[in-house]
Amino acid sequence: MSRFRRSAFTLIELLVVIAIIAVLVGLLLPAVQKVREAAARMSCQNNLHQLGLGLHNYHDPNGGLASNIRPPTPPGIRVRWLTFILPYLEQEPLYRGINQNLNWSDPLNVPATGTRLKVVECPSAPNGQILDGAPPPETWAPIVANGDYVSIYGIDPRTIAAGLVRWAGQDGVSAPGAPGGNPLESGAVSKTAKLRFADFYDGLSNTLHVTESAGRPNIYRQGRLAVTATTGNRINGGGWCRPASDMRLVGSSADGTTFPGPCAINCTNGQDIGSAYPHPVYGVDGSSQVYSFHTGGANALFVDGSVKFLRQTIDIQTFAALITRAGGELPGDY
Amino acid sequence: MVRRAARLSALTFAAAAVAALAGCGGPKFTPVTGKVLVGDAPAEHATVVFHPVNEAAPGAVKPRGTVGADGTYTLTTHTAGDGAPPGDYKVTVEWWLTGMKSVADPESPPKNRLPAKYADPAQSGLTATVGAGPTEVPTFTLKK
Repeated sequence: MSRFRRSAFTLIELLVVIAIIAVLVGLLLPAVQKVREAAARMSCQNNLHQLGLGLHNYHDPNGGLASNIRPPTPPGIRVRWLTFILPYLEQEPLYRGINQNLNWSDPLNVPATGTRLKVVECPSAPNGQILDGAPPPETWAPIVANGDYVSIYGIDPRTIAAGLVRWAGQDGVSAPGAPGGNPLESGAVSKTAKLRFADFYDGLSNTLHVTESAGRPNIYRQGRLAVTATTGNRINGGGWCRPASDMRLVGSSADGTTFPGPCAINCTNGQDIGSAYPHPVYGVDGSSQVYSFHTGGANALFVDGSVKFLRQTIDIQTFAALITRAGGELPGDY
Repeated sequence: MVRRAARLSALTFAAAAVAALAGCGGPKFTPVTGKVLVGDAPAEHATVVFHPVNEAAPGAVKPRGTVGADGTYTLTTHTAGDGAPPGDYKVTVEWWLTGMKSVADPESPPKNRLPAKYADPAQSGLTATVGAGPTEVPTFTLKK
């Protein structure tokens, strides 16, 4: 009996067991990655819901939406809409830490504006960094905390010039509600007008309020880091406290290098502004484009407070219809 | 006999494959460059758009380019520098620049620095022909 008793596994048995375990782990790991990304995307959508609640709660006591209108005095002060809704996001101490008579880049404001804010960080993005700084004449250095969300002023005239977006004004019809039919001032965030819900003739559920532009001021193209931000090469935008972190729709070529172009989402997170400032084309506006680190599209908050996932294959004309608050167009299927 | 049939079917298959691949090509693109001057100065940051004269697919993405510091532009349709399909084009140029000189300036919307006629393919008077090979379009000299 004892002659046939086996005292251990043979090598073959061991190898077979290891192979089976390897196959099982190989099946499991991609699933875990997918679940992690799905969780990050949901957390990212939840942030947008929070911003939507903040914007809505601000609207009624203040007689309009938070805007990027510059304070009349002193000149050169910039305050972003996000700053005004901080008390409605339970960030009262941060709100009180920002002196609105000084610019966001003032050394007295930097302790607040350099504070990371979880509600504006999308977990899918390489976020959680202090990367953005003030443009010339100040010296650019990374001093303020990043935000991954962007609101859209309107449509860039170059995109209309290239025939990528047809603008009502081209046919002699001015877009109702948009001041002077100016395409650059046709969106849900304004630098000139205090917008109320009544000004959204297209309907609150058909107008885009906040979407994603992640990874700024570094430049990403098609999922890859193309340019690390420096004084001479970067996107103008990124810091959650900066009005320049909002954008105009330009669109790019599929590779994300030339502007304007037919790609509205996920080709690049923005255009390199170089070192001349104010930029000859953008002026002091941001040069971001819509970009997320999710597969296939980007999350978007609409003015009615709903959050949808926009596919990156969206037609740029349809996307422009979602941006305008009073274009009178049918957005179609998206 | 069987052998001949096999050869024939192989030939048919090859021909079908070639036909299928040719169908995937669509219009061929050739690289196009050119220059835009206003007076004698380069129109840096101006947007140049090529409108096909006999448009096969209206609403298709038009070849376009941005003028650089030396006045030259390179046309892009889908990916940077891919150019335009050969053919005749009407050309429009718009030059949208900001009015802001400093950060402390009041907000001012950008303006087109060129006369409106250059923005209309019917009135611009600018035309170009893209050949089968890499094309350099004659310089457009515009009046402000």
